Amino acid sequence: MLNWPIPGGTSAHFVGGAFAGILLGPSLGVLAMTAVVTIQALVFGDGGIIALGGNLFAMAVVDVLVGYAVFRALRGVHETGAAFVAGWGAITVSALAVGVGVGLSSAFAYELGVTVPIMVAGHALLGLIEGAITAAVYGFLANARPDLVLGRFESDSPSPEVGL
Amino acid sequence: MNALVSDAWGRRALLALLVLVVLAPVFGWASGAVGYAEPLENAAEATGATDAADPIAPGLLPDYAVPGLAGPLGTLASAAVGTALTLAVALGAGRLLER
Repeated sequence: MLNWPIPGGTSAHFVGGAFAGILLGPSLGVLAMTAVVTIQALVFGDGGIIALGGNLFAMAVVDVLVGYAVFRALRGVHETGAAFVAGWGAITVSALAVGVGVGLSSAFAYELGVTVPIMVAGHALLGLIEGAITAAVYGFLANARPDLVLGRFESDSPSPEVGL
Repeated sequence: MNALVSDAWGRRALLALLVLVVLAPVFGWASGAVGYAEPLENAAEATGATDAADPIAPGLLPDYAVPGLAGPLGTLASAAVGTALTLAVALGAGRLLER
């Protein structure tokens, strides 16, 4: 629901899956995003109940896992930079998953050639803002409360209180 | 709450939140000014999928609107409701996992 406009009549919203993956690790990140996306569908009618599976796959699974993997791969190079690339890359890959998914459906007339470019180009651009927010919040949190960032140190268990 | 006010990071976090809250209506105005649409909606428009949409269960507060509260006010109230609900669900899930 956090939308920002871009010139040309498009806007998109912060998803936050990559941030959840970075902060909570893959399993708890998927769980947290599942709660968010499900509440958006059930309470606010943002994404239907029939589409919930597809939306969860894109925003709670692909977004979280890609963001987590990209961050882990790049954090040795530059920590905040890795958070930016993770936020941007994860939302763009998720958009690709949605573009392919809807492009294969009859409602979208199987027009993969239309849905994939619109989704990927739109989110590759808007993902810059997702990346910026991810990096800014991560940088702030890692600086102020490094104890809240799970997996920041190699010795960290996935979560101190939660056995997974 | 005390930690939020006494710690330096807590004060900065509260300040950042306050700035975002104050800026929220600007985002609302700007998205209206350029015509609100998401890439998925553009894709649906381009392929004719919009016509296939047939909502059967619109949700409790459809489109983040609250009956009786005009536009941005309703969205603001929805934000509070959604945040509180998400926090409650997350805390509940956390408690279950701690067992």
